[in-house]
Amino acid sequence: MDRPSIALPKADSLKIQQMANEDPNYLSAYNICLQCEEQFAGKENKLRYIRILGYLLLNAPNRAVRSEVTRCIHSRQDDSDVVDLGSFFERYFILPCEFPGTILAVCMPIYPPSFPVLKFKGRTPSPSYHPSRPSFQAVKGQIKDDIREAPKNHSDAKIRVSGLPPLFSSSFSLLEQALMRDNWRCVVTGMLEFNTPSDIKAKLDLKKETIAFTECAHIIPESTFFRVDPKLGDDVKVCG
Amino acid sequence: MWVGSDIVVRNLCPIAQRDYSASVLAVLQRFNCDIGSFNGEKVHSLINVMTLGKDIHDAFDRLYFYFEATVNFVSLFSELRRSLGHLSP
Repeated sequence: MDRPSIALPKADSLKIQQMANEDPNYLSAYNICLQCEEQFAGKENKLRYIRILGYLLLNAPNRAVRSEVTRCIHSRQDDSDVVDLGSFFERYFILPCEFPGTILAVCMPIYPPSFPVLKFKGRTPSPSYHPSRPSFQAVKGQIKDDIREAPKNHSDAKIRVSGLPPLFSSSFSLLEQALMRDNWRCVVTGMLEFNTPSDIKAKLDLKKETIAFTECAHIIPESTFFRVDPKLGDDVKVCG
Repeated sequence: MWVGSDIVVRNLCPIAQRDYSASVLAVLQRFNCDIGSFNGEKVHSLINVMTLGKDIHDAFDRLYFYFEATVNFVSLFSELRRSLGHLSP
């Protein structure tokens, strides 16, 4: 199924000029994306992967990310490698942060080839492409040795964590600690948690507050560290 | 309740999950993220969590917006999403 995507901005646009001023290598990597975009015109799925790379360059949060994407693009053998590279970043960078289980049913039809569940179900993932493969495999191999299982986190679970003085961390769950740090509010909207303790509520003008149910959101998905211990075997019941 | 990309967790055997997770973390490491700070139980540490309203949490999981360092409000993710054809069906 074709999934249309929006064309990359041309090289003379302001944002790209700013990127070029940072480092000319960024521009040359971006130009490779533009050339590939031209070359694969009409092939929507390939274009999408190329554009993932282009927009990763443009929207990179810092130079480390932009430089890594640049280096990957420059180490290509031919233009089909650029397509594979876009697919690689989608699979191992975008998808892990996206798609909570609740919308799985909606996603299935639009994600046929690259969806990890479909692709990898019950077997080892197919070999992944990365342009600087040996060094990537070395990094990955080390991580595979080091990776540790994380305890399952339910929103009300009393998971003891470090990061606060002992007095704090011994008596409060992660959820409670996060609420205390964030002043019992959603950090985006500022809405006040429904179950805020009454002594804190007493100091507020509740007529001016919007009340909400809040949750403890992970930035690096915790599921990255679930079920990674081979000793667990296949028959382990997974929570969720 | 939300559990990140638990779709992967549910469907991969541990050997495959370990491989997949290692790839994900290797990409993050290449992006200069200190993944050692988040290994195992440390994924549940204050530095990796924030309090979000349920609907905002849901939008965050769908990559409708993202955060930028040193900026005190969210940047909408919609531009990138539109660009990549990630619009909700």
